[in-house]
Amino acid sequence: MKKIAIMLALTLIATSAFCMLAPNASAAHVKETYINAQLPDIYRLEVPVKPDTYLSFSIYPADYSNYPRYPYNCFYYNDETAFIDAFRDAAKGGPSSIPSSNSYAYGDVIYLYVIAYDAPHKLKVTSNYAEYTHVLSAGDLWEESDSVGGFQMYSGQNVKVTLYSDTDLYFRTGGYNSDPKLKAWETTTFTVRETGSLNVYSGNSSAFAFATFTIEYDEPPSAGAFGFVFLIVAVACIGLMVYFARPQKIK
Amino acid sequence: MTSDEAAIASNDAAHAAVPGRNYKLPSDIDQLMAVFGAQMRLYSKSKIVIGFIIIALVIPILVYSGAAETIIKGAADASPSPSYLLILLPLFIIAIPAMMAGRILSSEFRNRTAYLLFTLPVSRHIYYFGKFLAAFVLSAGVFAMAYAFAVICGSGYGLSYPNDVLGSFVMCTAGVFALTAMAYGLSTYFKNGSTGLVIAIMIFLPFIVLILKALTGDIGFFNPDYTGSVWDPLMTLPPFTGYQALYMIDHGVGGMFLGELYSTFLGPYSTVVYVAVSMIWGVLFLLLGMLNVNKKEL
Amino acid sequence: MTNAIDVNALTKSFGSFTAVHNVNMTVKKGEYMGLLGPNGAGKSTMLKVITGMLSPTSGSTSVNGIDCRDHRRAMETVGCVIETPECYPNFTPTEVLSYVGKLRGITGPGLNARIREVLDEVRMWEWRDKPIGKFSKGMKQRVTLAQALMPDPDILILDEPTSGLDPRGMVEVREILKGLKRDNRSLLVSTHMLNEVSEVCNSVTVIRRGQVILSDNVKELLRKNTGNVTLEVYVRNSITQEFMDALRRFDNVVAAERTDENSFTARFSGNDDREGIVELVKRHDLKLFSLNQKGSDLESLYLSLTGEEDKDDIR
Repeated sequence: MKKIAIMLALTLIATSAFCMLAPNASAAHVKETYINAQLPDIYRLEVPVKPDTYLSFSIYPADYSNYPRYPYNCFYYNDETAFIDAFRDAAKGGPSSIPSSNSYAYGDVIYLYVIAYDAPHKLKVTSNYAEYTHVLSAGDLWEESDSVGGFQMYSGQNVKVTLYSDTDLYFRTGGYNSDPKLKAWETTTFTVRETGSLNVYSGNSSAFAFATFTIEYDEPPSAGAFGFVFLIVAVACIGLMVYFARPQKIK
Repeated sequence: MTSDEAAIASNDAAHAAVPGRNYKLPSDIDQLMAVFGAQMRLYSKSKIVIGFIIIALVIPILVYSGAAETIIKGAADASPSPSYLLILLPLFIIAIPAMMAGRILSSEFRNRTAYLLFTLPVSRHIYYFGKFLAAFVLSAGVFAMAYAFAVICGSGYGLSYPNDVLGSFVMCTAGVFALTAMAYGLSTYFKNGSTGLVIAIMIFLPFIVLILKALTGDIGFFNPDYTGSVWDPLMTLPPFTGYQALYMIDHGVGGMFLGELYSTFLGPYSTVVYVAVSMIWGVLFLLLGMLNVNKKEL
Repeated sequence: MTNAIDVNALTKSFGSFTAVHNVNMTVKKGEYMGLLGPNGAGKSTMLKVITGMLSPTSGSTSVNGIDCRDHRRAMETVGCVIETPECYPNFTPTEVLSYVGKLRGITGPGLNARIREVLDEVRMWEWRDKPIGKFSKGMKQRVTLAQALMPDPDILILDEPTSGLDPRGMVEVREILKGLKRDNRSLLVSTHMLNEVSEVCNSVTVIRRGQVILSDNVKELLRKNTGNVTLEVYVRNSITQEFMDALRRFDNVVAAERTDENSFTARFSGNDDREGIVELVKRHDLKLFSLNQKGSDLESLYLSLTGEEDKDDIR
């Protein structure tokens, strides 16, 4: 048992030393500055709602031809502080819906934001009380190459954004999160709710917007660091075995 | 005087009649630790355990020498993979507990060591849980070692979601608990242990779920309109823990076809749900085994 | 005064088969009792119920007044070896005894001292650090006896402790058992070995087909049943039926059997009459070759109690 314990300990030391060589980016503070960066635009539709309002919306090619399977991000605000995201994969082309809600009061307004990935497409929104249609034009579109985004963020990470222009900004990561809206000239710090790519969108419902802002965050420690935590757990467990297996001899 | 007091009185009287020694029985916890320690000592003399530890320890050598990449890369998909060896994680979660815990009790009965232990002044449930504790601690330790090295090596491949890695590890540990308990509890029913049965169940249960989903047209890989399935709750069961853990850290499980299928339609439940299901699964199997041991007549 | 072991109306059935039926038995403090019976009599079953390996179908057993269903407290002062148990083959005797000691509350330096004492008692000290898997059956038996002695028990329960041992091993174990006698230590040993009972025990209970047929002090038993002797006679010529008929009519002969052409046995209910037998043999022109008393007084008693069909079970 002594020999096995020594062998295990030496191997553990050697492999741990080996692992120290692994690329292990330490947590670094990142500050990116964007000057007059072009942001994807968002088409915004304002829909008044009541407690029994049931909304359905669909996005389909204007010429009703075979629609391509491009996804659309379609989300809505219920109020200024709570962002309820109804993500729908419009690739199937059929209607999506937001059910009626007891939290709607008479006089509430739903803001439907659409980021389209391709044109021309028609947006149709139907409620118990009204119908809205809008053909999404080039001005409503967002070309991926024009956007600022693709920051790899993890849930729980803090991000500080300072806006130096007259443009509202929206931030989104993943598909199920809610991120804040930043008004012109404001500074905000928010916590990313879901691991994924952080993208920045213009808050103005107009044609292509430009914004100047800085975005700061601390890069997360490499997951490799967690590996050492797990190694400690492993050594503790296996160490228990070595402890209980110590020689018992009586002189 | 109550009957308990009478029993104690007669016991003390029996001791008092004998000059010299008076050994008092230790508490349940002390006896549990004695059983735990003895089982750990037994494990230290087991070739299977030492073999697993050595396999876990050589993971970094396999990765940095390029051997892992050479062996597995052909099956891996094109996208960067945190660690090629993490592909084996679902199998590790099944194999390690099944082999560590699947034969402890059955061998005690078969080799008649239970005839010595069960006549000692120790409750059967102390033996049962003491041995299980050793099995779980060691299974978790060996698994943690393999996972640790895979993650450490994987950082070189861009594994950068630490919170998810931690959540994935917690989920895997719960999975190890569930499967250790399952192997251990079932082993009381079989003369030769339950290792083979557990491995078979854990491998074939996902196939069964796959077939059920295929029959109802709910396989995401083939159905772009897939939005979820009535069978999704089944995917919180322990056989899927490894796949879910890999999915959580955005690992594509390589070119393993079934792994791809699993990763495309694993349920959207939080880590807490997976951990809770694993814990309940484990506790149920532990109780099942305990019932059998309690009523066992030697 | 509480008895060491009480068995009250114990019945144990396995399905439709009743192994032990309404057995009552008592082992007093300080008594060394032999539990005697042929294979399948129910001895092991009874011991297993007492030590908690089986649960009774009806009735109860208690040790030092503690019901055996309270297994932990009942077994606290009991050391037992039931049904040839095995120790872990990878463990040494020191490791096994250390494990047992910790389970029984023996810790610290007292543990090592006690291990030494016990190994000395069973004469296994020089083998203390060798793996048990390499031991002979007799050595393993002594290690299991050692674990029973670890708590310095008031009560020892042993199930055929010399089973499977060679004659030397048997003698050694018997010497160890005799050496364990002290005031207020009680022993219950089940055995086939009649000489073991007569050498080691001071009382005996005979059990047959799950029922107790006799229980008494050994000396008292022999005193009451003196003369149950069986003689075995070999002659040089063929034994006739006429001779056997005359033998059966002989005084005090309760049974006579021709074992083969040249030998016979005669069982006497009272004192044997060897001279009379010799005379009878001469009268029938048989040439006497040898005349021996078969088995001990106790063996004869046992045979008479359990019946001729069980005689192959005793040694």
